[in-house]
Amino acid sequence: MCSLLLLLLAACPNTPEESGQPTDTDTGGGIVDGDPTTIPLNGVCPLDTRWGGFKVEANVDYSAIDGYISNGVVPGNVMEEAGKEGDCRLMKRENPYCNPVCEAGETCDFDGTCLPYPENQDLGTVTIEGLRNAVSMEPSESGKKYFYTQLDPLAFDAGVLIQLKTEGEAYAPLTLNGVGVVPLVPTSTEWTIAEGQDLAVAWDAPTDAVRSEIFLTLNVDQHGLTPLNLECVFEDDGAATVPASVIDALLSAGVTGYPTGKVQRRTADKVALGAGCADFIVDYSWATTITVSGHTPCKSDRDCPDGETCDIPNETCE
Amino acid sequence: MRGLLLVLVGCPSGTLEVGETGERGRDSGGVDSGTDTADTGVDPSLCDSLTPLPLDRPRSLGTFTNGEDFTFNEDGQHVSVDAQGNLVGITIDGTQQLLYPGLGTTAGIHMLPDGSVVYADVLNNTVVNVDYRTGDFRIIAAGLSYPNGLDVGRDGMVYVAETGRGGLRRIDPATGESEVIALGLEAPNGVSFGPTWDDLYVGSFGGGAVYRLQREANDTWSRPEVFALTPEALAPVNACAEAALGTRCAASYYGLEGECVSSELGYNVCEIVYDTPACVGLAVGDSCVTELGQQSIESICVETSAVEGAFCASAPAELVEPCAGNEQGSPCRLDDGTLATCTPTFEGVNICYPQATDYSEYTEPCVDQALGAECTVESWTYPVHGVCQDGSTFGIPGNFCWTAPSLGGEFGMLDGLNVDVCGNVYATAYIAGHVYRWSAAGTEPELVVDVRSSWIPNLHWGNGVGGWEKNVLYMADRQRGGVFPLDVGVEGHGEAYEVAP
Repeated sequence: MCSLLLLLLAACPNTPEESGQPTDTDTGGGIVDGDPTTIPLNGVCPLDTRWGGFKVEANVDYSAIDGYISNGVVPGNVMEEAGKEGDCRLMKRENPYCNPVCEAGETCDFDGTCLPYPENQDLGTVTIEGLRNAVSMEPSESGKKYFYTQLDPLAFDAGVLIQLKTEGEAYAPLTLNGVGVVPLVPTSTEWTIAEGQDLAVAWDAPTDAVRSEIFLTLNVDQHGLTPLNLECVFEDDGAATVPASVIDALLSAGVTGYPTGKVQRRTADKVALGAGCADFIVDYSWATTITVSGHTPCKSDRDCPDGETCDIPNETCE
Repeated sequence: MRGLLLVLVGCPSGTLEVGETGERGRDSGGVDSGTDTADTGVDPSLCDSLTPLPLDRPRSLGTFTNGEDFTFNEDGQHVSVDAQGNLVGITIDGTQQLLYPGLGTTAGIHMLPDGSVVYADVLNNTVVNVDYRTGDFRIIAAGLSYPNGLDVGRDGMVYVAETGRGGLRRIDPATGESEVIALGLEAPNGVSFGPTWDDLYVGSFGGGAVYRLQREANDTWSRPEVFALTPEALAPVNACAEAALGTRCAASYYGLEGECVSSELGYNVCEIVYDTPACVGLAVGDSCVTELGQQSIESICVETSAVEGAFCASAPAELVEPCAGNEQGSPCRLDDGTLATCTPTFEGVNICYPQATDYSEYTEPCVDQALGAECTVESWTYPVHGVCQDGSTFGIPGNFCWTAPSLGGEFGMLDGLNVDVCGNVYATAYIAGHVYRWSAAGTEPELVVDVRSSWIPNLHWGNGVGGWEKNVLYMADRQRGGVFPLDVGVEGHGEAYEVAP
């Protein structure tokens, strides 16, 4: 049977051209007309109209491109704003409930009815110029997803204009812009959050003209569905503060397990698609651990400091 | 805890079917695996000479991902979703390759016989088939209820647990056609076939139980039975097998108040029942009267997405009215001026509910009750069924009503599940850091290992490629993004792609 498996694998496509990955990559990414310091960047789509988008992402390990644009919104992905202060807001995921459950090819709406699951659309050839290597992508045969994984570890240079164009099939041709961001270097790699206290965060600010912003998310309850996420959008000037009020609200929703956070330096652009919206993000991201002051994660007393015992249900020493 | 264990050892034998009143699984037996190895072609001596347990605490193999689940591919890679939501393959020496970006949050991943990957997208409630070699991406099932753990059968079908539904679903990855093959499971999470492919095991996140279904004629499956329980677990308290329709019971997962109803699979299960008759001819906001347990409640008619039409909320009107039109988490004020929070009840109705500051609602049901006695916490938010427990473990004076899984963590919240070639079943109690093993006969569990991790969600045998040994059970350490090798000395039950036609 193993030999059969090997035969099957041997027949499988491996090259990008065969696999639905780009059919054309230049050795140079080309120069895109336009001024990266002034070209309009319109931000990300609102969740309730976001039909999809593309992302050029980089991190310490690799760069990648992926994207799709569908013809609707999955209701369960539309998080509600549960609180806001300054640059930060709390987002709550609602879980639509359908009884009986929806059939294959459907998704559940908040009114308890089942909707057709949005279908990804054929956008024709999608090109991205301005990367170190220009990329041209065709949609996957099924699923109509676009992706590319053979990029340089860092796919773009800082400050260059990156432009995504769709050829136009299901929708008219689209053009979306981004600007290469500087790799993100936080000046502290572990953060501590505490009730009643602001969280100060810092990172190396870019030295040249800045088109990027900082997108920060905190998640302190990861068992099952997270009730609340904290997200902030900061100016990319090297320092910011997460207000105590939203941290308190986040903590009050439950502190269990091992909190994590994610920081992205990004540019974002969007375009309207009738009632929907598609966006294009260029980012460099970094994940961090978070310490919750007064919360020592534990599973038994032996994990706790002297004099404290483990509140087992909440996985925290007290 | 020890007291509970003594009680359990003394429980009667006999496996339980879903819906039976909670009792223990079979009596503890010997070391015989219990599997008829003639069915599997396995050397019987292998199964009777497994590595002695418990194993020494293993050292993590290094940094992989903190993905919920993983699988191994034919290139010798550990395949999982990383912190960015991308599918990556990592060799045992740590070399990483990006395979497919943009998968998101997964709770169950497996190879299909054709070499593509199938995964449960728990946030989108879908099951997706992605082929990172060709780029194909297909949502093969949508509208599920918290898909959480899956396995692939020899028939090429995907068997996925639906935690929110309390069920197990079989999906044809080629056509997307699916059917529910089990219901009434307590928070199912983790699925694995046995070595003959005629037994199907499902873990219980809330109940600390392992269920077993057996293949019957015409490729149908038996009603699930409780095959085994963790030492700390409570048997699912569901009396619907023998009880009349309409009997009050603990509904699936949180043990919420429910009622025995018939299911499409021919047996009775416990489901929450909404009092819609009390609101016939009335409008939303009108006064109504409903029954909860032995109590008559003056309430109001409400609507939620959970049920068609208005129903009489199972909470007093003075708690429901302050939250009418308000979202969950909104501040509200009770009649006496107490500031409280709009909190959803088991019916999904927001009521004005103050944060509990003591454990009285848990301790009062167990006053003068013996340990192990069934009890109900009559909270307006969640009337929950449980069992009286010794509170000293938790610093609670006296006995209290332990209501799985809200006080669960340590108590058998099973997450990952797998079965070796001898038919021994392995499951992870994911917060406790314990791995248990039961023989195929369903004896009392043995502790395989106790690791220092608070998040061990899934475990799989190596495929023999790239240094991933076939007789080593690898376990995800989601807390640190590592992989623990468990040298159990025996291979897994096999993979669908090894036996596919």
